[in-house]
Amino acid sequence: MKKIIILALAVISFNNINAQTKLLTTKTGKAWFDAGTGIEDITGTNKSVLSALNPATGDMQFSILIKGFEFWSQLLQEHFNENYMESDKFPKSTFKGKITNLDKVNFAKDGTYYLIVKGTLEIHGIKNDVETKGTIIVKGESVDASSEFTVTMDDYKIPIPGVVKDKLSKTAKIKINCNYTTSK
Amino acid sequence: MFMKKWKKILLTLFIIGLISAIVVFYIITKKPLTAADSKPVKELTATELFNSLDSNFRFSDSIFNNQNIAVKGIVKEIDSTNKHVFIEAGEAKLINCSFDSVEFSKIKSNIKLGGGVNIKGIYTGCDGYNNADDGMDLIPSDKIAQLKTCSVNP
Repeated sequence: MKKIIILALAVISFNNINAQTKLLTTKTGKAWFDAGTGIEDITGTNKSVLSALNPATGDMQFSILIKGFEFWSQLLQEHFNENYMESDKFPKSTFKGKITNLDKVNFAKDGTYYLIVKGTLEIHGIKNDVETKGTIIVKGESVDASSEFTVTMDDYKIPIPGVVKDKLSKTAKIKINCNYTTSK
Repeated sequence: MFMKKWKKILLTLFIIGLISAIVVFYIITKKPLTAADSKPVKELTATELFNSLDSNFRFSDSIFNNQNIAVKGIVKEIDSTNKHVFIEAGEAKLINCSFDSVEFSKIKSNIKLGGGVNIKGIYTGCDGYNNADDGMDLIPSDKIAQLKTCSVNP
């Protein structure tokens, strides 16, 4: 009987360790931004964010194809890609960083955990160090991570032409949401 | 006589202004191209798409860029929560087709894993050709071509 209990505990703890060391990935993460001042709707959504999270080390990466953003207006989409983000020249935006308070997250136990993430964000070919807060919700096999932060256009040398300076904010609010699954 | 001339000028200016306003309104509110309401400019198999990208990525990527293309292949993965269908295109090569709710509801009952599918979508690029350069070593190095606003290609 003792042996069976020990074996069962060993299996459970192995599964927990395994769950915490396997890489978590997604190909269908969502990124949303709002760069409007209230005069016009300047929002875009990308539904194909690639991301990976290593629960053992807290390493986190995101890769977003700029042309994958969807807009309500053709003109806005053209201006976003050609004038502001220059997506032919800079097709991707990336983030490479780490959860700095990994000790507060238990990937093997259901719950909501608050994160601090530090890393390098690259937009428009410019890299900047950033620190942001986020949330991870662990529910069984599902790990849902989200974060909301603000970037300043100037920090990434995103030009704001004079004609649209009233409509386009100097900062953009960005929301990221990824539902991770264990990488096969 | 003088008043009549002014009336004519004002009327002409009003008509020009009205036409300009209509044109500006049309340009500003024009919806972006979606695959659902346009015809694909090119129809090819998933393998053909990647053969083209593999042979000269920069050139092929720019040719397909923002174009409605139809791709035939085998369904590798269905993500009903996020409304994505992944088409297999060879070893570590996928096509990520993103749908809106309406278009996904039309396709979901007609597709199954391992079954054939013909999907049209707006090509927005392909990941995996320079992940190492980006330092994105954690993200699986699969090559994933992305199509947005997808729809079934009849």
